[in-house]
Amino acid sequence: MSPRETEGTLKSFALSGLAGRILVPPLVTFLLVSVYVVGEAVGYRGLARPEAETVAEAAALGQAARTLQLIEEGQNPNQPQHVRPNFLDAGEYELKPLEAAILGRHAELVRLLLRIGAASFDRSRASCFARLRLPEVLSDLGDGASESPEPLEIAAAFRMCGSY
Amino acid sequence: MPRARTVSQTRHASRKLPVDTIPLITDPGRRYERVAYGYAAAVACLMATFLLAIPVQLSDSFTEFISVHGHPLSQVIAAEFYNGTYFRPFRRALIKIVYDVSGGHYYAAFRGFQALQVLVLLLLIVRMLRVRSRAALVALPLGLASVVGIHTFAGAVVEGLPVNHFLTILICCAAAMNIAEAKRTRLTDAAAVALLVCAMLTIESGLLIWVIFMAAYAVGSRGVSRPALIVLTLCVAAYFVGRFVLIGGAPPGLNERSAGFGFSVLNPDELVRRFGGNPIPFYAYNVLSAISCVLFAEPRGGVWMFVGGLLGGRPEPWQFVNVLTSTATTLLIARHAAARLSNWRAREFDEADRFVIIFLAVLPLNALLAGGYEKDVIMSPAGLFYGAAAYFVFRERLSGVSAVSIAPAVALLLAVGWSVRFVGIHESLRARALSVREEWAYYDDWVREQPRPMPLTPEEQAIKQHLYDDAVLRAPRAPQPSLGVAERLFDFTQ
Repeated sequence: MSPRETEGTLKSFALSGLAGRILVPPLVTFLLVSVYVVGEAVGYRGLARPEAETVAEAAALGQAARTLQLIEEGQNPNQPQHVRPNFLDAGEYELKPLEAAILGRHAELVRLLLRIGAASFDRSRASCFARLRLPEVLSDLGDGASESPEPLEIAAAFRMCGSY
Repeated sequence: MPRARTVSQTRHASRKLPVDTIPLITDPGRRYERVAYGYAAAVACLMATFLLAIPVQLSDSFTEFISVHGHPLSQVIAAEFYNGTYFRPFRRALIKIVYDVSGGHYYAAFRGFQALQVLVLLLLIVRMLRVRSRAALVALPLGLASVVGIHTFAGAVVEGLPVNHFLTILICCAAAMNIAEAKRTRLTDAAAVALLVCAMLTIESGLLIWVIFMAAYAVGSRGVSRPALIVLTLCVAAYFVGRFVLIGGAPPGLNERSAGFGFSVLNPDELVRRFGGNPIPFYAYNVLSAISCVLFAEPRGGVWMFVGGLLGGRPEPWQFVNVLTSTATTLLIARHAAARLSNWRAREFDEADRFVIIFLAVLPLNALLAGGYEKDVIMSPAGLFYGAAAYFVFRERLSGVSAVSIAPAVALLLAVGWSVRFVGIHESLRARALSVREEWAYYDDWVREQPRPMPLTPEEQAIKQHLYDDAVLRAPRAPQPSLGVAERLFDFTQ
């Protein structure tokens, strides 16, 4: 306790304008984060990004760990799976994880999927997606590398390469 | 000495009195202090929930497990005595101890230990801040927000390592201040020496413990005696003689790692090419950058990100938040120092003065340790005292005796800015939970990128698989918050 402090207006101290300005923002912030954590613990996901429920959704987001986790839990990485809106774009799609990773432009994940055996795919369709969205993985798909302009929008890629 | 005194008695108290004789006058029941400890514990628990969502990381951690596995503690320590450019024998010893105690529950043990370290640190900080008045209590949330939210602190919690030695040093710094301000006994002297030895054998930043004790003594703290200070000084001398003469160690060279310079990061080859003939300008740049980094939140890691953003016309909102709050806080501390300079010359120091002066002593010497390469977390001890100094400036103002005035709008701006940074560190921790999982998912790629082959024994393979499963298959669910444009206020580079 500072002697100078005692010489001041300690007795008249109240939640003055200055005290309020200094106290309220950090305290409210702390409380808000705490409430968020408690809410999250009881299942509230209002402020959370949607979590991938299928391997294809995880691949679309580029989340390798979640992709591997869902495969470990039994999902087949070689089957077409549902991808909800806002994972790739506003549309809903049926995609194999490898295709979702290509359309999401996640080259490392494409290679990881190939390494772990997600190798059963329609080569021409995957290459078509890759040419339009992620040409750097064409050689990994067994296709020749090609020059590509700016990546096409996902919906346009679907129109050109076809869907299931 | 009575526990409480009246105000009239205190008015006669000299400011030259050492710390341990300053009476406690406004909080005889210590109720404010108890609330402060409770708040600090709550902040630590909040951070712990975020820390416990992060698996043990792959980079800078897995190899540590391999290094300590199957070796006795003495051998782990001995090996680090002769580790070339780095002299940190106790750093890996602490990892070894937690590793052995874990009993194979690596994730729980290491993340739990880190959460415990945060709790201990915040409790020690509250103790050193002496929250014994209403004004002190009101200023505490902002003080802790600045200590936790400052960018130099981020590296102490966002990185696991797997025991973060920077966090260990922060605890040592806070403990040193508590010892320096305690009532002097033989125990405080012995504790001071033990603390210094442990800290400086953990990482080079531990040498700052000596600076803290010396500076604290110079401004009137008498928890450590003059003979003990001499012993501390001899310990520091022995450190340099032992490290550079007896063991023959050398400071890190330019080819050790990449480093920020100007508006970009230079790789070791570029550093050697540009500064190999004369590295002094590079070292000077790093020291000045480190000081500026604490005071103005710019540059970051030696790179002038905010200035670069301004010149490029696209500075990020979080850069404005960081630079404005740090600069405004620095100006307040500077105004306090300027207003009290005449008192300092007369050797009159109150609590705020002591912390401001100790911060001013720690800052340049801490920056010297960043001479080889500037990294924000190296400056975390200076960041700790920066936050403490800011706390005392606010507290003095709230109690109505401050030498400087603070415009209400500025106070609000600072409080909001530090609050945003407080949220930002938690956002960074949540993002870290995801990135650690991702780096484990790409373990094979990581192995390929290592400078040397990494063949694993069956036991090491089992450790790797355990950590991999913890991170990828069994990781706790850590939803990533989506706050829209508000996320641009948070610094995810830390």
